[in-house]
Amino acid sequence: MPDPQILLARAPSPAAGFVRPTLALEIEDIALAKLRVHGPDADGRFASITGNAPPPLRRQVVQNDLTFVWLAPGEWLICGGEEAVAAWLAQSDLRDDEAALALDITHGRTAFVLTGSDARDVLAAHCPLDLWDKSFRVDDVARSLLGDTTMVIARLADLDGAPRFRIVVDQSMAAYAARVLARG
Amino acid sequence: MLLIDCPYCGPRSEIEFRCGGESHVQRPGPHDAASDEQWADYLFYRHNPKGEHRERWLHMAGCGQWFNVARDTVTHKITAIYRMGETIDAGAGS
Repeated sequence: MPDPQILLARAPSPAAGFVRPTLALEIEDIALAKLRVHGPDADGRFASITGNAPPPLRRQVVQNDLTFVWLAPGEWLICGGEEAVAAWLAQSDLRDDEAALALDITHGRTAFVLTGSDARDVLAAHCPLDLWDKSFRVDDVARSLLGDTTMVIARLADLDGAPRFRIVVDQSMAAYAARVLARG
Repeated sequence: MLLIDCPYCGPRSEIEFRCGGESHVQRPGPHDAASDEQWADYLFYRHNPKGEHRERWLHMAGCGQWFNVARDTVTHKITAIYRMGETIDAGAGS
């Protein structure tokens, strides 16, 4: 169990969202954790830790209240409500495990949701990915560049026919990322 | 701009990657038997072919994994991409 005496600073993100008719950026109030597994059978270890099969390459899966996002071989991002992520971290308890590590990284990241019919055009100006339907389906994920910083991007279910993306950046780059997306 | 087919992430733009120089460079050893010439060759000297070159690339802005690329230094055509620890025959990708 995490020590309740140690409270990580969770200052509000310095970034600000915006709402326009064809584009909206919202700061998402979710907790984030990272799971890293070393060794040749990382997927098998993932299954023994979580009780579920890992998400396929470049995909995310929703299991109960948590979303498991593939980041790299042996590396996953876990997104969800604060309580759900804390409960998962407490239950996985990998403190004595030499080949696996699960960490709460909420304090170091900012999650955005970018929605709207202009979302792809705005992202195309700052990111080298092809985010159109044919190559980036719902629940596809990628780690890539957003301007001068890096991001994890996941496509969420469309909203009213408009694409919706979750974008996770380092918290220190969140204000920059929001400015870049606002500038279009 | 190169389109590099990361073995883990699929085709991605060159700006997400960093080139790590020649691949398959073998460290001489055992260390007490390596001559100064062998050690200098290992540290400082690299092939600079006009044609197919085997290189290490890092998907820095993506999965963070290293892999090997066989690239023609004249045309930039990538003829093979393979994971660390794997080898291919000379000219296998062309």
